[in-house]
Amino acid sequence: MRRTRLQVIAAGVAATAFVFVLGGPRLAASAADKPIVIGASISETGAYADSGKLALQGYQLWVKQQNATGGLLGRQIELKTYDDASDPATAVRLYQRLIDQDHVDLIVGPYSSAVTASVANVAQQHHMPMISPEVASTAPFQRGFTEIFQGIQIAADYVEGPMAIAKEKGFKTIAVTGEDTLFPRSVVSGVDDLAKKMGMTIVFNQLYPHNASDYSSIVEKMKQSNPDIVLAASYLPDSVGLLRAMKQANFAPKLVYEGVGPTELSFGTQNGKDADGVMGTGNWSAELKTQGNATFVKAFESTFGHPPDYHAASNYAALEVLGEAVKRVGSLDSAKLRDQLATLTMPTVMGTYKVDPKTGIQQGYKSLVLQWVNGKQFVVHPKSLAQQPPALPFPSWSTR
Amino acid sequence: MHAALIGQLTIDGLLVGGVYALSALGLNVIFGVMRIVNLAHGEFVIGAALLAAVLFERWHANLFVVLPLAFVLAFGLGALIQRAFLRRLPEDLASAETTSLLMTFGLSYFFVGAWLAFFSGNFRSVPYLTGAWTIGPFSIAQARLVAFVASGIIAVLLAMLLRYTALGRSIRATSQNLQGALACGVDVERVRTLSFALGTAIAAASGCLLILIFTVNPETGANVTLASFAVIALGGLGNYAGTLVGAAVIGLAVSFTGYFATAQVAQAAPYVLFILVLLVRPAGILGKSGA
Amino acid sequence: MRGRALIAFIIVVTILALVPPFLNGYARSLLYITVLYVALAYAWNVISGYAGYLSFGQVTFFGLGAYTTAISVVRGHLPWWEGALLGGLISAALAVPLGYLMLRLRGAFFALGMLGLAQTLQVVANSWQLTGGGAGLFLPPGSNALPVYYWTLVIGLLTFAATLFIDRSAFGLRLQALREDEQVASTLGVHVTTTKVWAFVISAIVPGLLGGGYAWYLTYVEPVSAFATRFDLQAVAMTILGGIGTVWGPLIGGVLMSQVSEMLAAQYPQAYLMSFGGLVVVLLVFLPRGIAPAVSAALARRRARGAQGHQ
Repeated sequence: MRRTRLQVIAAGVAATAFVFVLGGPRLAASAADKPIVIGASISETGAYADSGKLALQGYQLWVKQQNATGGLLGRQIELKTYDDASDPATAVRLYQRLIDQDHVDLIVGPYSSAVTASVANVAQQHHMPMISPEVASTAPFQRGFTEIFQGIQIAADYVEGPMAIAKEKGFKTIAVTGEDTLFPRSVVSGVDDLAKKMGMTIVFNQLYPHNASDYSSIVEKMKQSNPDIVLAASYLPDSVGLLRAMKQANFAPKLVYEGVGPTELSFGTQNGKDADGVMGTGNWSAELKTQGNATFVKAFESTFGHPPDYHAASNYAALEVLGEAVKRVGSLDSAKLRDQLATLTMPTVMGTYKVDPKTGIQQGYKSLVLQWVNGKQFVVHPKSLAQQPPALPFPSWSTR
Repeated sequence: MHAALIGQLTIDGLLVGGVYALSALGLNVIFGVMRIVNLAHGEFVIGAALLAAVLFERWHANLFVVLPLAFVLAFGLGALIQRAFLRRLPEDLASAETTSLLMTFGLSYFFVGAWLAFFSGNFRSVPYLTGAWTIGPFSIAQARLVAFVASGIIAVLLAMLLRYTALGRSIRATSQNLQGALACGVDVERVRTLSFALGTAIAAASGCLLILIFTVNPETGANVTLASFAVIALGGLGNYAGTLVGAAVIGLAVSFTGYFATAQVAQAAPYVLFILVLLVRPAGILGKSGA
Repeated sequence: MRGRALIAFIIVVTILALVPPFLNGYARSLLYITVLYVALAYAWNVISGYAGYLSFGQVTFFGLGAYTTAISVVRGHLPWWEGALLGGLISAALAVPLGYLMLRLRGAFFALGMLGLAQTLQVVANSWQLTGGGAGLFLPPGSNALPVYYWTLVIGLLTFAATLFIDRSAFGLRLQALREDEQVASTLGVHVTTTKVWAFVISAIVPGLLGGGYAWYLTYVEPVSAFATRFDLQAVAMTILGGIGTVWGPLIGGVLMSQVSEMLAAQYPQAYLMSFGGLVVVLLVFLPRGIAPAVSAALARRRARGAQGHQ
């Protein structure tokens, strides 16, 4: 009896292995009348779901607009996306599936830094150039890859803005915190040097883990160090949590900066009046006078029924750049596309795309400092783009 | 200054501990009667928390309106799960425990997936009662105090239910002596269904209060299950008074390590404490032995 | 008969060994992940299936192996497989004292204790300089999945062999005896503690060895994905589907579920978690012993009928 069972199982395993073989190599037939397929994985579930959805819509809008004006190289464009649930192993498999199984013609990057770190290796091995429109940390780009390009502002530059503002006001002491993952870490990585250069002191520097749910202790600790400025490298949920804990501890330093949390529109709805005075880094704003920005915002709103955010804009810009590179090369030749992406300088809704040709690190896009004032976001820095000067000091909790 | 700080950390810790206590009481009611640990407990807590957050976002629904609603929904869901699945556990005790653990582990992931589908993976919180009252050198967060008081009221109601009603007497009888309860004509099957439903409903109630303090998403449920289990491991399985002590210990541990060590240590504190307690005394510090 | 079964087995292993170089990257990855999950399910089956100690935290050792390898490669410049070997050794070495401590707990206490242990290690990885904290560690890029696949295949086969041994040896009988009743087993002369610590070590060394390959394959390790409880969920679901505490259960369940999960994961990640979780519950109600015993029972019935027909 046992032996028969073994045979049945062996047959099953053999059949499965056979399916793998059949599902294996196929010839890529890219006839001229077939659409050009662009592949990507996004994170529609998992911790960054909302941002993932807007990022996808940024891609979708560009494809829709481009198809309306004749597509690319005379062919229509199709978008093929999967959901990686923010898991690196899944994302690796999905990109291999896009490249090997679905035979997509072009790829663009996934959402989070951790996922991109693993996916970049797949892009490299398949010699598929890839713009990462969401990865602000430079670490994934400094591993000797030649095929990945950063499509967003460098994280380490984020704190320069708020620190310049603080210096102008004569603020001296800084408390640094943030989520202890790749991106927020790179946001605060340069803060020591910058503080030294600007003559300020760091009186507190401690990060909290991903998935933290209670911020009262860390806020209490910051309060005890009595800083002028709080610099937090945070996403939306921790920005909200920190701010609430600050209010509950009645802790109001002179300047509060909370990373990319305040740039999300729901930061305002979730915090109401408490949002007033909080600064954050914006990679993009609807008010920016970059090329095509006004049309982009209008088209986005009429297509999806809600305004775009920076995820939508940076993903849209990534396809603007990729499309332009394809046009210039005149084909889908990946080696030529790679060289084009490395040297190309062009205006997008995000600003001027320009990368370091060796590492692919972004050099053109400049980050903005946003501030919430009376329930609205305003660009307050740099001065050349500011809608109004920064409103400081941060109002005390009892005067709201 | 130092004394004030200690006081502040104590207040913060105890107030959070109140909510842990409520969640753990729900887990304990189920364990007491059914002798099973519900690994999907945290998912019920988080499900209710997310429901409350979404209803608040959409219609500014008051938490204290949502709480009874979530309580009733969870009661129904708990009864359904018990009738459909847990009732079919094998007869002998050892394999019943194994099966119940596997089953509730499966249920917990089923619900993580379900909440992801319903609520998406976003972290949510409720901007309600975000202020603080200042008393002397202390700052008392309104949300924390309200959650603490509400948890206390629900816990007292539960205690009264257990003590003064017929159902409560059957629950206690079944917890203490299954054979005895059977002999006295208690409908044990019905008591089990009602206790599982009640435990689940209490989990949901604690979720509606937890969201006043914490930021959560569908994947934080396992942490809540572990923290709640740590509370009853400290206080003793089936020991309701011990649960309160256990919750206070966990709340204080998180608050103090968060300040004096790091946020990372604070995150690990409940688990480390829990493992240590298990190793020193497998039935919990204040527990009845025989686990 | 025995010869034919053996030949079938050799053919399957030969296919698994010879075919991958001719596959594309995606098929290779899929095959790798399938073999990985099956091997992890076999490892889980030893402590939880044969010994009856349900663990929801064997991922502790998987993450430990992944980190040991990453640290050895990044900081010690060792080849990855030496790091992976080291990961297995450290896991085994740690599993001995840990086994003595944790296996005093039973049922829910052990299950949740292990879950807590995985969470604790995740926090350690998150806050230690050596492990790169929350930013994790980058391994050199350009890794090739093929060596990792063979590594995993070999360890998978060894784990299978170990299971075969456990199923048919006195050691296996001792394990099953203590699963049924530790006191009775003890009075029958079984060294209960030693026996279950051995089982725990086997269940720890396998994920310890496999974690390193996984880290090399991803070229990146970070705390959240290295210690994800999902690995245990997969092992649990696969083993229960196939048949817990059986020789063929993890293989049948693992192969079936990898295919299903691959189809679901790409398009419907929520459905993926829901179906894994839901399947566990439904199986426990309707097919608590899994497919393997059901299949063999059906085969036995057919053969019995066949034998009658012949007479």
